[in-house]
Amino acid sequence: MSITREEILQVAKLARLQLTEAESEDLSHDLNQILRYVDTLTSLQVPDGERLWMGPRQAPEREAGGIAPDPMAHPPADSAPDFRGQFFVVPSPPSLGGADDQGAEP
Amino acid sequence: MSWELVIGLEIHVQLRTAEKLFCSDGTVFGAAPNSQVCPVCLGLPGALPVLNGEAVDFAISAALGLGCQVHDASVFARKSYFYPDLPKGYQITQFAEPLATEGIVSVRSDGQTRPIRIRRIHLEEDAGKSIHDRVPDGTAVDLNRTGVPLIEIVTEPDLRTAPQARTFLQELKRTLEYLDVSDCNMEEGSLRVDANVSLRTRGAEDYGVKTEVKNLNSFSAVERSVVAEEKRQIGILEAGGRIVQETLLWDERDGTLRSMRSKEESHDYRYFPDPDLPPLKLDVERIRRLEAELPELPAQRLPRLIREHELDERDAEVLIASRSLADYFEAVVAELGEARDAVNWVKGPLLKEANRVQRSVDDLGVPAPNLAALIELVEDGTVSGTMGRKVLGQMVDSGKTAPEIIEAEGLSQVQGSDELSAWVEAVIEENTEEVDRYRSGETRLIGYFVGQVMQKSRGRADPKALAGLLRGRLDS
Amino acid sequence: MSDVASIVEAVRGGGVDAAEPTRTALARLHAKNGGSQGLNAFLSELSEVEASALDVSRNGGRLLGVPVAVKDNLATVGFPTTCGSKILQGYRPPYDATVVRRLRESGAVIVGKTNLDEFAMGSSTENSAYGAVRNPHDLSRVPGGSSGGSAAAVAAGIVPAALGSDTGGSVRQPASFCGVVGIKPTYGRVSRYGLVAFASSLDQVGVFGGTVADAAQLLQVIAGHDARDSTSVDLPVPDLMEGRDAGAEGLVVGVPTEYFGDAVQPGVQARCRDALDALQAGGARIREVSLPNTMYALAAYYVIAMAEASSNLARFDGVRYGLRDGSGEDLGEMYERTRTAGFGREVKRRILLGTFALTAGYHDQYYGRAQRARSLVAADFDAVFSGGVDVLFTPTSPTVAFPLGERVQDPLQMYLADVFTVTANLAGLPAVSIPVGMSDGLPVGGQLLAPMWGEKALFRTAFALESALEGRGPRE
Repeated sequence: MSITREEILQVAKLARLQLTEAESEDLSHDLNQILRYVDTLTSLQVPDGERLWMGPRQAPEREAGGIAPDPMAHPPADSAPDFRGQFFVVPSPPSLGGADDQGAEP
Repeated sequence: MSWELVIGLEIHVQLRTAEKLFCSDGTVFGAAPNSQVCPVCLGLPGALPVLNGEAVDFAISAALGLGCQVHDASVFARKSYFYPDLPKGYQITQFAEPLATEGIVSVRSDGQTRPIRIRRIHLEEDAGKSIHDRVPDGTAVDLNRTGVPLIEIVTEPDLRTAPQARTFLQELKRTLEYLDVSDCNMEEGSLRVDANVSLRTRGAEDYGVKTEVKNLNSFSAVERSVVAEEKRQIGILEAGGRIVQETLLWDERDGTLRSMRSKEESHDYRYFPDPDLPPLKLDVERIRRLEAELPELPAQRLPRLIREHELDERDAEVLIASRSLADYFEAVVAELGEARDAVNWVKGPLLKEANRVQRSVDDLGVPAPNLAALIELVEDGTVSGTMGRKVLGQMVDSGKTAPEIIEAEGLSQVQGSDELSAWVEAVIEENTEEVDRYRSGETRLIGYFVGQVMQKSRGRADPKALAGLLRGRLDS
Repeated sequence: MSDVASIVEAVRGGGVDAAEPTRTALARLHAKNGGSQGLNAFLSELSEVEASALDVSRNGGRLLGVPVAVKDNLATVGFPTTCGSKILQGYRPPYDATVVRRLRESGAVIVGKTNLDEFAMGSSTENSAYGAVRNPHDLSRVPGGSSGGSAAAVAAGIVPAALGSDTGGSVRQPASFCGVVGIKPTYGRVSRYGLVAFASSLDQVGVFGGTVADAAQLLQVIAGHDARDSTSVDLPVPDLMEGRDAGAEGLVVGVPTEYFGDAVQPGVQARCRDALDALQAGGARIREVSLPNTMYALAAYYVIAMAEASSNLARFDGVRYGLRDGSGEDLGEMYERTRTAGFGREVKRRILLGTFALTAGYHDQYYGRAQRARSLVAADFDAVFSGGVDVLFTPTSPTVAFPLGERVQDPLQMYLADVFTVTANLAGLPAVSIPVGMSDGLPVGGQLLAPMWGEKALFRTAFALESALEGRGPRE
């Protein structure tokens, strides 16, 4: 199994990373080397069914008032690259999209 | 070519829990921006989700109320995409193993009852709000809403007309309100709807290509957009074209659909089970208890009201519009011992008052016994019907009871001849021209005279007694 | 006075000023950390002002006055938390990780934050955006990774104990390269709230100590259920010091054949044999066992770790904290420029592979399979432990510390350094590396593994081995 240059660029887009020619070349080599190693998994007869869950058997549930919101030593504005009035500010998206942003998912 | 319209709906409902789904922040609508946030819903490095038990209970109740199978194990999954109001870069939702599946909502349309199947209901967290027109050079982001619990309800493509879709939504909303799990307010965003629309030739088994319609702000927008999309699709198909699977945005102002086809590739959400949350396991006892605690839902209440109180269907539909209204109505019936007057007064004057002051019937300051008392005072003639409605208005404005108001303002209906005669005499003296006209044959003017006496008596004259008295005087 | 117990005793006894051990630690830090031949183990430190204003008045504190170092991927109020990355340069968390809060409450003093491979991804601490860390035993060699800074800080005697994190060996392997004790607890034993996530189902906070007792005392304080971490388990923490004099009599120590092949350097093999002989001399029975699915473990580990990492690092998007490169035209460019400039090469490599492993087309082939392979690895251990083996012994790493720059260009070679440690993370087992001698002047670590929740047996064996090997350790 190997990953093509196109696939690397598509994956980079999904992960919001830019790669130069040289980088995608190097990465292509590295990733394929790793994938070849990982392909040993395909020879493995893995049983179908339940994955192994780490930790508790079931999700703990909190009651109302059960855990206080973690008080913050300083407000979110302090860490933000751009915070104006009471809002985080970001450059606008190229074409609007988002959970309820004119209704469309990005 | 005979086309069959096929509609499926995806509805997102905010649960009115005290806290968010995975952290303890409040969920109050309209709070100051970025004030209901903490490390968890801000997606700060190192923060972790902890599930809200109340949200799970609400979701289970909703699923049971919609006739679903609630699963004893379900899994939270991460749905990845980048957007400024999605702090973690993924939404915690449920994908392969949702909370509930296979429900039914019955919808009355064209005199028939259609069962509309619910494919699935799952829990997920809401995203924040991105506001594009607040700052000139960018987008403003408010994360208060991030993490608020939602249930996503997906129907099977069982709806066949736009009005059906609307009726379905009304029934769904009403059921959720009865369950008290959500405010179901489309304007505030606690209820959101997307429609999936496709066409196929009548009699065909397979479904056609479906498009997704978004940005619907009301049930009527759902109805109108579906009509518009059906028309658009028919236009393409009849011209020999093919429907492209895409997302369309509804523009409320000009009633058009706009394609969202963007240059970007289709989304790969890369769903996988969230390793920060073990599976949600529900024991049978809990589900049974929640089932037992379900209130009587509209689908059951409607036929019962019709049966028990001999109501006609239209009246009953009005009275079950909300749980509080139905409860109120039944309380008035219990006080009066009969339903007829209760129906008229509740669906008429009381709802008018509720509308006037923009409050719900149980928030008017007129508890059911008080309304019942007023009704009895009208029935026994103490005040006229018209006066009674005025008294109701004053009850709403002052919070006082009917007897208190009638006493204080001396509003009781006058039926006794002496006082009435005095007013009648006065009116006859002041309206000689009309008296002549009446006596020359314009007997319709009786209404005018009644009106004049009512004015003079400031509404206190009993119109029934009055008519007889007037005629007697005028005819002589 | 260089170990935890004697510091606490001295401070409690009043013989030593509570801030004195901290001043000493800071002096050593200044002497050893900076400069061209410095360790570069610390990225930030307590200032003089803060050190003199120390309020260490908690008489009941188990770690009263003990200076400790904390890996820079744990949230600490008052110190930056960079995760060794440019993308979090200068980021100051507004909250403490639970383990940090517990340390503070016990009276320990956080002297500084330690350097690490960026986002804990690496096995040599050469992937830090803030420069590599040097091994105190040989400044031309790596200290191991990703918790190289914490390991070096303890090995150099700056602090008696430190916190690290272990996802695939990131505490145990640097412990072995630096000749100190490093423990990874059972998954769910220690809260991850505030640990910047790398691979959520594999990460655990771990502890370094100059001796087994040092590590035990720190672990005792930080371990235990935390309601803010849904993956932490509600089980009581045993007294980890209880078995310190119990010795090895009657212990059954399993030696898995798969961990002793040709890949292991002869010097490492030799020291491990010595350790086994010492255990045997102390009354332990050595038994050869097999863990047949070991050969799949590394591949399964990398797929799972990279997939979860790609998701956990999606929150670093320049919106709410950290670096932002807003020089582009729009939001999309902001995301790409920020993440491209902010992440180093190894992190990018893993994000890309992880994203790939989760994409719709490949999910089942990679991620799905890897998760199922994980069950097989865990089953191997179950079979061995239920067959009467108390603990397992293996080399911690196939080699001793390698030279700086030797492997950083060859990711696959680098990944192979983790081959003996990843299995404990895959199966969630507690494991510890303790120094078992020197080879060519460099420390060798031996690894003990116990069943889930078996910290008691683990520490008992570790204490026994440490005493049996007394004098062969490398501590400065």
